Amino acid sequence: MIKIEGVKISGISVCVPKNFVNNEDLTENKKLISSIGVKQRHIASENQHTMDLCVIAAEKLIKEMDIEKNSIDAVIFVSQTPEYQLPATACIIQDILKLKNNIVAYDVNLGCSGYTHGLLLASSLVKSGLVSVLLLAGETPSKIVDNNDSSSNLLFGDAGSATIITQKVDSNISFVLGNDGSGFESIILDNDNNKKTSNKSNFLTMNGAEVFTFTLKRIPQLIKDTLTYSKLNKDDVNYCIFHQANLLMLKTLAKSIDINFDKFLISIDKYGNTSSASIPLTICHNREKIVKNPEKILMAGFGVGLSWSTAVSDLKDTVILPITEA
Amino acid sequence: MTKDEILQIIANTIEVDSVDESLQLNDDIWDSLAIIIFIAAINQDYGKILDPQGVFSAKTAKDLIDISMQDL
Repeated sequence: MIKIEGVKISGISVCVPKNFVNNEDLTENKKLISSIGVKQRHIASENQHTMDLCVIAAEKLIKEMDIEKNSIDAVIFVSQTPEYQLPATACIIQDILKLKNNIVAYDVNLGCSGYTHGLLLASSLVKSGLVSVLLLAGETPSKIVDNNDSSSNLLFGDAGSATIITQKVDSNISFVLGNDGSGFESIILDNDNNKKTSNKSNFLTMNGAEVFTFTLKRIPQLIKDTLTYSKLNKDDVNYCIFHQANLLMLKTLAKSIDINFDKFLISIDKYGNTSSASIPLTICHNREKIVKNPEKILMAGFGVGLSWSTAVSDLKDTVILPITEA
Repeated sequence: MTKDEILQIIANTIEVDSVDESLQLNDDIWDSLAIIIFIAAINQDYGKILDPQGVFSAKTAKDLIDISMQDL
């Protein structure tokens, strides 16, 4: 349990590709569509990458919040689809956004748990004295999914997000994090330089049953721990904003942790599983609901690694922008 | 948890009215989606988390009954 005092999520923005596909146009398997809960997904064009979506989200956030660029002391890019293997995409984004040179800029290679992990890193930097940190979490899984793989080709969508974390007295964010690397092959994209694994595919591969079981084993206890450490009762939580893994997973988790599914905010039906972008995307997609009840928001990310993390925060006075399509 | 209840969950999973213990779980009906739906249903109804490898390896409905009722 990590509680960081004096920090706040000040603004959130998300950009998705304007191109989208309807899953019903791709398969007649209605049982699959209803189980994963994905009706449509936004898919990046050939020349549109994760960095591009995150940059658009960031530019909109900076403009709408009238953020002084010199106040941004760090940029963190969380993604598994970076622009290059090297250099870090955050370094490129610093230049594209015309941010100052005396800035912290680095990438984090995480997926489903990436947003909540990223929030911890950003909050820690703010707590250490930085004025504000720009957290960019995004993914373009369409670039790494095998279109012939029925376990993943209808599930994933593309999106990029930007979140600004700043100092604020009397505001805090609580975190619980964990990891179990013994399950690393459950969701994997190998590369040519590392052939130690049994996986020899050039595409993302996922053992859905293993991931499902991991989630059922780990996440209910994670939520219980988070509520205990945050001194919250499950009835106190206004909204659960969980990584949008798939609808069956979310419904099963809701029952397992005994929280009414009405408290679970959803975006997977319109955007699919967008990996590290799924939590901010779900926030922006449900902004009108959150504005009415912005306190005690429980966020949870879990998956590739296998890793997991939660963040409990108020989103009161947080600027939540409508989703941009580009 | 009874055998009949598990058989009904299997039937619901593969979208038929009923099945018996001799049902063969061939690839046409027992794919990765069916495995996940079955694991989810057992967890939702009984709070039990099944070993996915066991469910994947099951050849008949009776195997699934044995796996589900193990350690009860």
